[in-house]
Amino acid sequence: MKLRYQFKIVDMGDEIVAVPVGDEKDQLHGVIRLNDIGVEIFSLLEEDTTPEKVHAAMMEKYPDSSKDEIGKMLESFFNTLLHEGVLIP
Amino acid sequence: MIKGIYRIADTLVEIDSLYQEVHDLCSDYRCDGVPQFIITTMPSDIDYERMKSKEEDLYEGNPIRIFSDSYLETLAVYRKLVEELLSQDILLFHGSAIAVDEEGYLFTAKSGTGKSTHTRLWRKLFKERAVMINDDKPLIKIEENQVIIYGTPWDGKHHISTNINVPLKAICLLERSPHNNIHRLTFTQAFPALLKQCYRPTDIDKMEKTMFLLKELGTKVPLYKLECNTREDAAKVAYEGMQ
Repeated sequence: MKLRYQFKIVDMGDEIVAVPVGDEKDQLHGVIRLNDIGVEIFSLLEEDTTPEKVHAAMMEKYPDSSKDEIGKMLESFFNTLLHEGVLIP
Repeated sequence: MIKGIYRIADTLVEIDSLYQEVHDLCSDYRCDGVPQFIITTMPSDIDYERMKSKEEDLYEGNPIRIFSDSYLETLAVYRKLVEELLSQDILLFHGSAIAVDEEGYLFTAKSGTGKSTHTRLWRKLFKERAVMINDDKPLIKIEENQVIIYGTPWDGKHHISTNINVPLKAICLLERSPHNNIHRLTFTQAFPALLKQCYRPTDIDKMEKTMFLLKELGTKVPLYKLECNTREDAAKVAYEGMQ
């Protein structure tokens, strides 16, 4: 599982967006709005990985959150990216 | 190769091309002097523009347009020029730009929204006070204390442009609406549309530079959204809203 495109994370001040860059940038017609957690997940998806590895990494970063909470959040995040064609399963 | 030297966006550039068409296009910008850089085109550049044009037509759901090699070369030259001008903090924007009382206003939106129609209303309203800067692809230079918008030879199907440059007073995102209304936007609100309407290089370093310049532009030039129809008062609403 990894991101289909290369992205550049741009801090707008009051918002963070991921902008597609590189050879295939024109295939994605838009930008992706992220919060701080979204930026962290995005960085984990730059290299080929698995949902389990991402889950484990997020558990380490957010030890106060339950396994279920993180699992649900990631499932929603992955589904959104898959739906938009941004994520390669 | 056919050669010519031109001053575009205050930059002297030599164009070495396969066809004459680009030199005819740039004739109003011809000058003498030592060029700061040289743009040379090859058949592969023309093939690239053919491919990009086809991609755009497919994305828009339009029939695939067939262009001559000489016309595609004019696009290739502009692409190379714009990529080079990034190093001088100059961006290309897709939009219709008009000057009134020597201050520039840029209307940007996707093709077919009505940018040219709207600036035509401005010309009707302001008469000799209004000068069309460029009706398709003006250049914008972001300096420390000012932002300047330039006319260029790449001025759209009706060839409406003037070889001038003026301070850029405002950028306006245009949207069709039954009623006329204009309001201020934050940079965050405007960013996705601005990014879509500016030239986006494939090279990652140049893309980073583009985004840096966009952010600079967003802090230096007021941004607006104009919802408008094609009636004459649309121009008055837009102009007064940007003062």
